[in-house]
Amino acid sequence: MPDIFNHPAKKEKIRIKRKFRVTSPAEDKPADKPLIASIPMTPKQDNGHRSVDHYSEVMRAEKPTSNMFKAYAPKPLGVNFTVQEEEEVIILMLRQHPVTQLKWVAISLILALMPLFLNSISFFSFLPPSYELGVILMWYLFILGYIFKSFLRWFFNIYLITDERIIDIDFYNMIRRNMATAKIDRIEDVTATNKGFLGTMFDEGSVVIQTASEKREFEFDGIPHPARVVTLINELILEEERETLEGRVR
Amino acid sequence: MTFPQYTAGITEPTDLNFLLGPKLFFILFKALFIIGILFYIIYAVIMIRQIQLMTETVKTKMSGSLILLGVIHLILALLLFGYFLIV
Repeated sequence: MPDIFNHPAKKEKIRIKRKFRVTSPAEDKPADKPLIASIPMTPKQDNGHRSVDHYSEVMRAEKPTSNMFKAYAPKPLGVNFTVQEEEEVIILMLRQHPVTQLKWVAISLILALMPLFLNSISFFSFLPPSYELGVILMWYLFILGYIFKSFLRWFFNIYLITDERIIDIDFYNMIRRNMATAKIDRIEDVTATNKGFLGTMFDEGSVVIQTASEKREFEFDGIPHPARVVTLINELILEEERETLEGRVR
Repeated sequence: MTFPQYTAGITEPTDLNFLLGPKLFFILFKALFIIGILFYIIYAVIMIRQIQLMTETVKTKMSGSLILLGVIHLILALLLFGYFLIV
């Protein structure tokens, strides 16, 4: 019996059929068609979200930093926080401007020089030498503790801006700290203020953020470049709105 | 009435109040400093604990260094406490 099922002509027919395969209308539609024609589509990350450099002029001009002592640290490397989500990226880390810390630095210097002044007037002459040394050592230990506490207070009072949220971490003292977060799409109003001589000279000021969250107001006090921070937050708000419209919400 | 442990090396009149006066002052002085240092050691321990909690909240490359500085601060306080005990 002739083999009609494996005939070469039949195989050629099948090959041709596969070459001119008919597709459905849904398959013809391009995968990335912008819903809003005015907004150009840019390359996306694997998770469907755009890198901050694509939509933020402020961040496009900034390079990542690994310096942990900066008060204005864009794209900080090696920084994570406890409630950070897996795909959440820290865009900006802020602390109070160093010029706002002059007060405790000056106090520390005065306190450090005080034993020299008191020695010159023989203030401790009534004490034996061993006691006098102990008092001076204790004085400098207290100053060291004061400097360390003030430094920690500055170091851990952090304001974080991620691609999804703003975070305010307050380190009041050794026994009190606070952490508040708000999503970018809940921000209603952002205001920047520079005031005073130091604020004007060193571009230091405050950013007040009104939100629809439980905590109604966030204040980033004494930060560097407040106008830049406001611009960045506005860019993030716009990007969140784009994501909502384009269905890219995380 | 004599108290050899208080009068050793003293050539002044052996009035008890006179002898105990300055000694009592230094004993009280030393006790106050020891109590003050003890409170400060407690403060240093709290500081280390707070640094640990804050570095858990915000992890940076400086986390280990800050805890080390806190430990050094505590060691200095303990050394000063020991100094006041032996002085």
